[in-house]
Amino acid sequence: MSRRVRVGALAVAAVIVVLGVVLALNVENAPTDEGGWVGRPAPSFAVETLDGERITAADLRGRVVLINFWNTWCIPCIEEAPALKKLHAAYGDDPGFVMLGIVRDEPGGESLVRRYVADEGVGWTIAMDDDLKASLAWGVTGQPETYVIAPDGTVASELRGAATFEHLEQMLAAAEGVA
Amino acid sequence: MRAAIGYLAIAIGAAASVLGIATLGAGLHLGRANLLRAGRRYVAVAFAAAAGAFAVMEWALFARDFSIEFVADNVARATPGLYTFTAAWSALEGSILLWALALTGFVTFTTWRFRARATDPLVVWATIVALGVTLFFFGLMLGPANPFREVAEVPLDGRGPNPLLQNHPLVAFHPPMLYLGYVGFTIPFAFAVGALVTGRFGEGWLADVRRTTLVAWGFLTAGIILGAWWSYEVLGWGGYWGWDPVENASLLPWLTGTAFIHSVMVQERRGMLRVWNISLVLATFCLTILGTFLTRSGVVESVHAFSESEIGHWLLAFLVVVALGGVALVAWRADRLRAPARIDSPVSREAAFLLNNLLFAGFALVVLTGTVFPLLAEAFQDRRLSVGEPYFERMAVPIGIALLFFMAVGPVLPWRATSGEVIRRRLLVPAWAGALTLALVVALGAKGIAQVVAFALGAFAFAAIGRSLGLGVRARRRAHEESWPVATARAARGNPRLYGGLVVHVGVVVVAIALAASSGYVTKREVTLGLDESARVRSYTLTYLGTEVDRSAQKTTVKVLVRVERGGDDLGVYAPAISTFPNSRAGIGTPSVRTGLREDLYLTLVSSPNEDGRVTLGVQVNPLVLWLWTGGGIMALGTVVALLPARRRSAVAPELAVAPAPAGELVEVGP
Amino acid sequence: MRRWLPWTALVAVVAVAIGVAITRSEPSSDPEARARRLERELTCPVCTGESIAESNAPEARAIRADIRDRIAAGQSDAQIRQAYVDAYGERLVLKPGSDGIGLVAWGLPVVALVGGAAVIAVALRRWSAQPRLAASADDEDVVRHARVRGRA
Repeated sequence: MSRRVRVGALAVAAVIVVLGVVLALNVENAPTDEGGWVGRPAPSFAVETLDGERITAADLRGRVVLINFWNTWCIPCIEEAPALKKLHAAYGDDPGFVMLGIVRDEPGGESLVRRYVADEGVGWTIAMDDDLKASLAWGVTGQPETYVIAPDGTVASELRGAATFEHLEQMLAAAEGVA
Repeated sequence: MRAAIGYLAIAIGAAASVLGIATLGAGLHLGRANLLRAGRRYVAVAFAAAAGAFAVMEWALFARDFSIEFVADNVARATPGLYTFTAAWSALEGSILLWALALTGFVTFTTWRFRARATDPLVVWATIVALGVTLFFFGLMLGPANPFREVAEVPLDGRGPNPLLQNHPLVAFHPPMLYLGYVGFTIPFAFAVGALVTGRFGEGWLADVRRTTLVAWGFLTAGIILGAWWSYEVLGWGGYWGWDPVENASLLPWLTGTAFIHSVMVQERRGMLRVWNISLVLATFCLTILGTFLTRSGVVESVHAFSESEIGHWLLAFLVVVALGGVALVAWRADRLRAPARIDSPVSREAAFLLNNLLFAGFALVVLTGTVFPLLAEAFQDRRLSVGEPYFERMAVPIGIALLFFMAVGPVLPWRATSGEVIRRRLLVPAWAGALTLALVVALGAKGIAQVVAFALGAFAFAAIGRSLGLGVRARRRAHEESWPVATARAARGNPRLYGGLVVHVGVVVVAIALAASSGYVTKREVTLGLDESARVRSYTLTYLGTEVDRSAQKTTVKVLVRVERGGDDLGVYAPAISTFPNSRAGIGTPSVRTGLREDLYLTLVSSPNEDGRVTLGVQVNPLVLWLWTGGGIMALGTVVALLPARRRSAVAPELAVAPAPAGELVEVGP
Repeated sequence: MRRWLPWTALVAVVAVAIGVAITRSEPSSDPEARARRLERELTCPVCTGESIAESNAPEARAIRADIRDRIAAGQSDAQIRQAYVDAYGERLVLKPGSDGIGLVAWGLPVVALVGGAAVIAVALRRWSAQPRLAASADDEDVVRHARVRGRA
């Protein structure tokens, strides 16, 4: 085997092996979790609440904010509803804390949400995101997604999927730690 | 009980493969002809086993045998007959079963075809390699991809096929044709390995596999075109090619396979480009396995992806072993593979084919890089990146244009060498056809460099092909005084490879022009209409007539009726729809397409009637899409022609010669 | 000269036509054209493998509307792309960046093609420079004698 052939063959073999390793690694690993918002300033957004009030990100500065994207039919949303109610019962009276629920992907529309809020006794501020602008701003791809913003406007913690009461408390604690 | 029979059949298939390899290997080693003849029988046993397993699977599907996991996952009691049949390949394990069936079929046919050469070491080695691949696929089914795995609790009803796979009868054609294409390339691969091992890498093995390669290529081409058609007519996103990783995976072996089909002509003529040819066929086979891996390993996100399973590891290991083995074999024989002949002139058909190889390889590299790049980024930098149309278009379109150019010029170039004078004479008229088309298209206001150049090169290629065809047929007419149609038919029968190839090229040109028009000049709008309201898009007036809801056991469909008019003529009522299936929340959209010679009107239902009864429709006007499918059909026709056996040439007729030209004379057209 | 006339004319026609086509095909900065271009460069975040231009998912439609709002508000293409990357991550952009690892994606095929073409060109030149027939000593004698005879 001449030297040129040997070098060429080894080069091609090396490429094949590298490619194989790359593919093998990908078979092993789940896709990287999105970096997300933690540590970054919260995006600006605006929503209109069921009471007709308009809230923007700027209005929420200075307080710890918990934003929960949800709707009435998704199973994890139904699962975490009790945890959210408990959180609101525990901390809702604190003037330094705001809870905001944003409804997305709700075919039943605003009327269904109003009925749900009345029937289930949802006590915190609820807004509709029919035009998905808030979802776009936050890069929301499903529900439920929960974000906690610290008073200085940076995002302290985030969660995709159903939350437990304990987890929500931890998320709030992370925000307290930030001035 | 069925599961046991099916699994037994697979086990028999695996055993037959092992025994076949052992017997043939022993026969070769010991030089015993009777062993070699016996070894071949195991191939038939493997085929019978695969056919039996497939039959059992269909039996189980139709009998709604929900004790078998595959059946429970892929048919429901309400599933219609056609989709029950196609459910056999609508999920991972079944697709491997279909692969094994096609593979054993091809190997059995090949063994039968070469039965007179049963003791030829080249044929024996090829059979051993093919049986090795067969063994691998049977092995997959014995282990990680067992189609006859049983469930712990037998459910009352099955889940039914994936909604996308029970929406259109094309599911009966697209996957099997693709598999026939993929699997078919195993045979040339096996012969290539045999050639390397036995040291007989002259032109013999090429001649042996020529027809199989062409058949496999034909099926792969048809499978890809059908997939594009399905994407367009059924999926409803308005296009036919999304550069989806699995689509790319089918394109990769097609590219190297096409390069191989062309490049072998140089080896047949001059004994050159042997390393290229062996490498291309090895690469084609490896790429078919890569495609199988990508679809079934969960590595890429794709509409096509089967469910994840451990099968990925095995496929990857097989792929790496085969690829490295191939490299080693080629390296071992490399010095002897190099032909003594040299390319004499840059302006020759050999040089054109060499550049052709480079372009196809480059195209394949673009597709491979784009598909694998997100995986690279994930593995090395932990980043999630995407690669889609903007990348592939920017990189692939220039290569496609270059290939179109060579397709026009290549067949006109003589072998060995030529003078500029000859080329100029042959190409002047076609070149003017291209130039005038360019001028006309630009004068008519067309935009987009790639489109405009594609049209011009298309005309150039058409004219060049027409010239070749015309000269050949005219020569025959003069010799035999036949009418045009008879002369054409007889000329084609006299040299099917040439004429078949020219017809395929015609098909390619039609496809290229259709691609250029339908990707560059699409009109896309969304219109929201209330009842009896109309909207105008281009020359069409659309009126919303109402909504219908169809309920069946299989699905619920919401159809929106739209009247289409153009220039006062009523073109009919079209009904884009959204269907929902009981076991899936997602709605599957079905477009409604009015196919025309010049353009398609493509309607989709974006959102069903809302509270105000208003409906949102997607409206697209796609030029020349019909010609994509027509061009595909022409390519298929050309492939069939190229496969015809050549009629023996009579001594009298000056047929287009296959033999090299007499010294000093440049023959006008070659094989 | 006359032989070359049809070809010169052809080149002229082609050059003019291509020139016109190039000037006509410059990417339009008309807002709708910009929006369409951006739609094709971004992937739908909740679908598999559809771009914003292709998908009918609610998010995709919302993004189509949002892109047009942003263009109307005066944002540049780069700003709009960045806004979506900030919200959804790098994976939303359908082409590799022109930096770092992205260079591999863009550069590798180009390098391979150009390199391959160069290798072929060099090889072809080397091969055609080799004389196909080598003159033997006897041939040279014949030539020398003929020359001498011719001069005499």
